[in-house]
Amino acid sequence: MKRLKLFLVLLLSVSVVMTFSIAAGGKKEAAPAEEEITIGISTDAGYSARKIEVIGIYQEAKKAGNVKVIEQNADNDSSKQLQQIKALVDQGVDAIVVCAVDMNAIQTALNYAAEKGVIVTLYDRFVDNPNVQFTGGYNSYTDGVLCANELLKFDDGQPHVVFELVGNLADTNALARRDGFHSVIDPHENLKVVQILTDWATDKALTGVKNALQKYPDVWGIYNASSHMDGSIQTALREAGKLYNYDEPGHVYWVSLGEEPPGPQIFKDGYVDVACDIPFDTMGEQIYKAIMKLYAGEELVSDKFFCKTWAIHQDEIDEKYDQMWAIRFADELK
Amino acid sequence: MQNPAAKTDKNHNEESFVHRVKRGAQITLSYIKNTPIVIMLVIVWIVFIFLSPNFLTANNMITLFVANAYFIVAALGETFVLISGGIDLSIAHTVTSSSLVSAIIMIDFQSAAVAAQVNPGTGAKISDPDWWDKITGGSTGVIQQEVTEAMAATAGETILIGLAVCIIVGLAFGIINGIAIGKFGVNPFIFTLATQLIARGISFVLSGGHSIPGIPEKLTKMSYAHGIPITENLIFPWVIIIVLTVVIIAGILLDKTKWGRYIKMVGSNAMAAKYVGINVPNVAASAYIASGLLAGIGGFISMMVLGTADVKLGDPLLLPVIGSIILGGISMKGGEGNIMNSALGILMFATIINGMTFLNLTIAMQQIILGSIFVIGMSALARLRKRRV
Repeated sequence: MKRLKLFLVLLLSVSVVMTFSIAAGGKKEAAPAEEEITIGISTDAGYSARKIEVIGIYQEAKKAGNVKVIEQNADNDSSKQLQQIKALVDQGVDAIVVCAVDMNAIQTALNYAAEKGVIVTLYDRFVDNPNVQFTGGYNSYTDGVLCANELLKFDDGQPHVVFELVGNLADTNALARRDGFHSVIDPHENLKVVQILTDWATDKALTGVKNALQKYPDVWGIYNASSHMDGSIQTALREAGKLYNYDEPGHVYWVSLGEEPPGPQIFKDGYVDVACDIPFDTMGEQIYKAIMKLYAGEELVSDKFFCKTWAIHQDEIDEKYDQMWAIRFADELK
Repeated sequence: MQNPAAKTDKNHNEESFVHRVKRGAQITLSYIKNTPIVIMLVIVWIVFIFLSPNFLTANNMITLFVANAYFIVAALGETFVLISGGIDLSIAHTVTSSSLVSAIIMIDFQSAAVAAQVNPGTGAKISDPDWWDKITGGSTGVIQQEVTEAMAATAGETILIGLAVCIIVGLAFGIINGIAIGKFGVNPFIFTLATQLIARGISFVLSGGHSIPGIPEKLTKMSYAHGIPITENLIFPWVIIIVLTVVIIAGILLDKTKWGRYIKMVGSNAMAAKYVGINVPNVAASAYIASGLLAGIGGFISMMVLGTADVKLGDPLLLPVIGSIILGGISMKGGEGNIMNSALGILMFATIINGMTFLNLTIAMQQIILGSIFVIGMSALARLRKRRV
C-alpha cells in the first residue's frame, strides 16, 4: 500500500512537471495588433536539410510579425503524419506545409484540410491531389544527371569502376537521383557502375564502400547521392589506403550531391572533386510567399517551385565556398 | 400484515445488492491496483484534456482510433505470441507485405475487369498515372461514365479478393513461423528476425520502393466517409467497428476458450503444460499463426486508413507494437496478461502520440515524454510483479 502511494505520488509529480513544461513550451508570444496568420508545418523527419528547408518560413514570419509557425515532425510514420495534419487543421491553422512521408497516404488529410478552408502546400514530394495549391520541390532526376555529367568530365575513355551510393529505395528522390545518374552513365560502356545500397544510413554506407573496395580496389570514381555520407566514404578510402587529394596521384574522382555536413568540409579538404549544392533554404521562402499570395486571394504565377542545384569545383573554392548552404547556415546547424 | 418471510427476502436482496456493489468495487479497485496502466491512462487523459481543447472532441477521438486501427490489430496478434512465451519480430513487415501483395492483385484484377467491360487490350493499370486517359482513350461523356460504373461494379469483388490475399499472406508467414518455432524449436527472436527480413525484401521487390496507389475508393472510404452517422458532419467509420469486432473476438478467444487457456499455460510453464497433456508445439505454433492472420488483417486495414499500400509502414510499427502491449501488462516471459491489458497499453500509446500532436512539441521532446512514461510504467509493473513473488 505504501509503495502504491509512493508510486502515485511519483506519477502525479511527473504529470505536474510534464503539464507545466508543456504549458511553458507552448506559451504564446504577445498577440500582434494585426490579424494573426498561423502556418502549420508537418515534416517527415528532422535531419539538417529538413531544418533548413523550412528556415525561410520562420525568417519571413519573423519579419512579418503577425505570422505564427507551428512545426510537427512525423518521424517517418505516415499514420502519425495523418494525425498531425488533422491536428494542425483542428487547431485552426490558416495554411499547412507538408513534406509527405508517403505521397499517397496523406490524401485524406489533405482533403480534410482543404474542406476546412486551409491553404494546402507541400514541399520535397509532389502529391497528385487537386487540393494542393503549391509545391516546392527538387528535380532529383536532373540532379542525378548533373552529377553524372560532372563525373564524365574526368573520363578518359579507359575501362573504370564507379561506386554509386544509392539511398533508400522507398524514397522517390533516391530513385530519381539514381535514374538520372544512370541515364547519362549507362551509355558509356567503359564505366562499370557498382551500386552500394545505403538506406541513407552512414554505417551502411561505410560497410558498403569497404566491401566494394575489397572487390574493386582500383575504383576510379564515386557518385554519392547524398553528402551526409561523405564521411563514410572518406573513412573507407583512408582505411584502404586510397584517400588522396584531388591533385595527388591515385586520387579517386568523387562527386557528391546535396552538401549536407560533413560534405562541405571534406570538399574543402580537397577529397571531393565536385560538390553539387542544393540550396535548401530557398524552399521555405518560396513556400511562404506562395502562402501569403494565396491568403490574400491572389493567383500564383506557377503552382510549382524547383530548387536549383549548382556545381562547385575545386578551382572555385575560394570564390564560392561561402555560398554553399551548409556554410551560410552553419550556426543554425550547430 | 406484511409477511415476515417476504420482509426477510427483501432485506436479503438489499444486502446482497449492497454486497454485490461492494464486491464489484473491491474487484475494480484490486484491478486498478494491479494494473498501473489504468491510473497512468487516466492521468495522461486528464493532462491532455487540460492542455488542449482540441483533444477531447468527437472528431479527434475518431481520428485517434482510425489512424491507429492497423496498429491495434497488429498488436493483438503480438499479444497472442508474447503470452505464449514467444516473440514475433516479423509482424510489422508482414502487415506491409500483405498489404502490398494485396494491392497489386486488387489493382491487376480491377484493371482487367474494367478493361474487359470498357476498353479491352489497353493493358493499363489503375495505379498508372495516365490510366484514366488510356482506359477512356481520351474520350469523354459516355465512355467515362462506363468506366466509373465498371469501377463501382467491380469494387466489392476486388475488395473481397484483397482481403483474402491479405489473410493468405499473413497466414503464410504465421505458418512458417509457427512450424519453425513451435514444431522445430527454433529460437523465435532469430527466426522471426529472419522472416522479417524476408517480408521486408519481398515488399521492396514488389513495390520497387514506392507505395502503391489505386486502392478501390470504396475500401478507403470505410475509414472516413462510410459508417454510422453521428451528426450531420460526423460519422463513426466502419473501420473502427471492424477493429472493435476484432478486439472482442480476440478477447473471447484468449480469455474464454480452451485454446486461450492453453496459450497462457504454455507461456507460463511449458513443461507443466506438457505434463497435463497439452500439445505444446501445436499450441505455440497456433499463436504465431494467429499473429500472422492478424498481421494480414492489419495489412488490409492499413490500406483502408492510408488509401495506399505503404512500403514504409513496417519500420515505425514494430517497437510501438511490442512496447505498448508490454506497457499494458503483457509479460515478455509469457503466461501473463489478457486482451484488456493489451488494449489499454495500445490506447495509452496511441493517446500519447495523438495528444502530443496538439501540444506542438518537438519530436525530441515527444520522445523524452514517451520514453519517460514507458520508464514509469515498466518500473511500476516490475515492482508489482516482484511484490507478487
